[in-house]
Amino acid sequence: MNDPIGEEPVLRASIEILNRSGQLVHRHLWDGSRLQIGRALNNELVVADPYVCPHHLQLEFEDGQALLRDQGSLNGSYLNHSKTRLESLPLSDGMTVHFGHSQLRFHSGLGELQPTLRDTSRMGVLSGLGKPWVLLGLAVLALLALYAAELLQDPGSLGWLGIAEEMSYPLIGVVAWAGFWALLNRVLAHRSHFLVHLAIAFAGVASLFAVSQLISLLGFALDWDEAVWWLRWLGRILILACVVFAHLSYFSQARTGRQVLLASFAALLLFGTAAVGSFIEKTQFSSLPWLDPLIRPPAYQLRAGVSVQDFMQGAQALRNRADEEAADE
Amino acid sequence: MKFPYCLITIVFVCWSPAVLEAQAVATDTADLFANWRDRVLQIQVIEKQSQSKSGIGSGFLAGPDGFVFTNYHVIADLANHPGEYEARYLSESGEQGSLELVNVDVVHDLALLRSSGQHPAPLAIAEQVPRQGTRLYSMGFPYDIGLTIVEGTYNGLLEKSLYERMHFTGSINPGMSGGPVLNQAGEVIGINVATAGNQVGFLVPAKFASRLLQDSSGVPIDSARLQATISQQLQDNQADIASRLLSDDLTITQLKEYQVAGELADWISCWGNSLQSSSDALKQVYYQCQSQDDIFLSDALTTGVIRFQHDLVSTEQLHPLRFYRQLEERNYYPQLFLEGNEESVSRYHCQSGFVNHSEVNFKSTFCVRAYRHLAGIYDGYLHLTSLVDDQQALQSTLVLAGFSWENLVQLSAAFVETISWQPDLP
Repeated sequence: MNDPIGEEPVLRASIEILNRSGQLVHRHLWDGSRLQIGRALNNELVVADPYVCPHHLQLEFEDGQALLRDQGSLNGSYLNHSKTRLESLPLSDGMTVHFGHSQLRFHSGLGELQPTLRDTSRMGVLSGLGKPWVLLGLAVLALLALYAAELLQDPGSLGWLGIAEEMSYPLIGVVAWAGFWALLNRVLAHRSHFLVHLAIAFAGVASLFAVSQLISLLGFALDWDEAVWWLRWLGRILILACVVFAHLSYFSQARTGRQVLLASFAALLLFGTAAVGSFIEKTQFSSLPWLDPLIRPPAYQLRAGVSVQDFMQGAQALRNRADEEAADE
Repeated sequence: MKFPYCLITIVFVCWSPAVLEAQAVATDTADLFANWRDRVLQIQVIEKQSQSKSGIGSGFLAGPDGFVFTNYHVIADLANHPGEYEARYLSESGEQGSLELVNVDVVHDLALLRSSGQHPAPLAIAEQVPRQGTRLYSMGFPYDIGLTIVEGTYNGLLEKSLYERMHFTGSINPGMSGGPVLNQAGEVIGINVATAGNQVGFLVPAKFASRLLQDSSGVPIDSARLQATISQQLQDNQADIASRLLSDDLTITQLKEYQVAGELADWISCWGNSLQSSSDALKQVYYQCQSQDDIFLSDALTTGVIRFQHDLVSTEQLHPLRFYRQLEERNYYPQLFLEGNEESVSRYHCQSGFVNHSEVNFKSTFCVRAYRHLAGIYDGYLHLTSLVDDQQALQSTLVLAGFSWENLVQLSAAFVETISWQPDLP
């Protein structure tokens, strides 16, 4: 930044104006000459905040000291979170004064210049998600996944209308999920990008269905019933973590590592707790057996069956576990 | 179909035949009641802390030294929680006293207790089984409303019963469990045990009371010996059932193209039907079988049961992926499941896998749970789904309660081995 033309400035300080969210909206180099701050256009520093008076504050440099004066404003000026109205205040480096719904931060030097923010919404793979054909494609995939899921559940009694009704509930959930991320996007990065977040949610739904079906099919084909419960939950948690990461990376300025951490935490919070609940239910006492054998059409069976004798011999381990539990008071 | 009977509750009779000789044969019900009323007692199971009745039944004096017979199910709380409950008797004349458990026969639902009080001479146990149609008299304390005598007739032994029972045509009601059923000479013919309502009552034959008396030392039984006795009785019983079933080839029945286990014994009865909901693309033909009786161990647990069901499920509309997914959802048959709580049994431990038998592939699940306090006794659950046809599958479920591990495995394997598929059948 260049110095003012003319005499050597008596001061090289900077003034930052922040909005109520703490976002920097204006930076001003102050050379020590009197500086009027307010909403009126004839101020040296104009703050477009309806709670700020036309001439709200004045900065002066007197006897080697920067001084802030309130100009008798309607809503007053306050140091940090103090409730005492200021009349005048000697400024020192880093001090923040609240006025209207804005803040003034004083730096005795030029202040640190933050690196330019990347507009992640215009970069990388995710930037294409807002395109209509991508959104449409993902929406079709998600609808197909939801339709297939309902179809598999239905013994043939629902019909088209019934299936459409059943699909509407998860669809409402998907839209609400996208809405939540769009709102967060709006608050933290000015724009909502609802359609992009909707596209991410659609991709998540389609992936959840596809991975779940694939795991079940493989579990059946290879006779891995006992591993399938774990794999299903692991798959759900991983997909949810990826979805949250995609939402976050679209607007968050945090480092990638932090985003991954946050996404993993959110996925564990949502599906991890559900998995723990399911595990507790599975291991709690019940007079009914916990039955969840995978059953798919004969064509998908890849491993040969064992003889009855071998199957029952393998059950010896069950006996030992039951005996141990029965003996445990 | 299983009898929808409920257990009731009552007491016993004078043991010495010599005593009987002193009694005149009653000429009518009033005489019989007057002659033997003081041998019938109300049995009360008292919860120690609250000192209130947790259950009542009936009982009777029989054998030497103040022995009292009743049903095991009347005093099951005392047997299962000796520290928390105690047993008392209350005579029709108002005399009370404590009772101690001497022996049990859980298979035939009998318990032998002992009173230290003074009692009249006991009832005698008849050595002969009466002819069908003989008039009998059931005594007990129905609904805690006082000693009652009920006239009825003896109608033989139940033909389709796993555990020997007499059929008594007379009104037996709750509270009469354990009470004696006498002939006109005042001899105990049987012991009230259950009713199916509408004057259909069931008695434990008196010979089992005699046997229990012979097997008893006469001294109170401690908890460890009691559990060992029950365990041995269940082991003997299940060994007997298993040997009866496994001694010959299991009975087969035809379910369209499948041959499956059918009415395996005369004490197992089967019935079936076909179902198709108008809104459902699945058609189901089912065949369900179960043993007629069970063994009461506690309010939460009955045992000594065999149940199985075959479902032939088919579709003409559903894609194989949808059809088999529906089969995956159809695992639960509440009518087949067993009771049990955490105090009496372990959880089920299950394994699944492919089983091949007689060129039929099955997806099989086998679950087992062990009895607490009764080592070596298990309940088993076997579920099979055939994997041979895209539009039709057999789902078979077998439930075995109260078997040794070896018999559980042998019976389950034999059950699978009965199944075969003959796709060429018309």
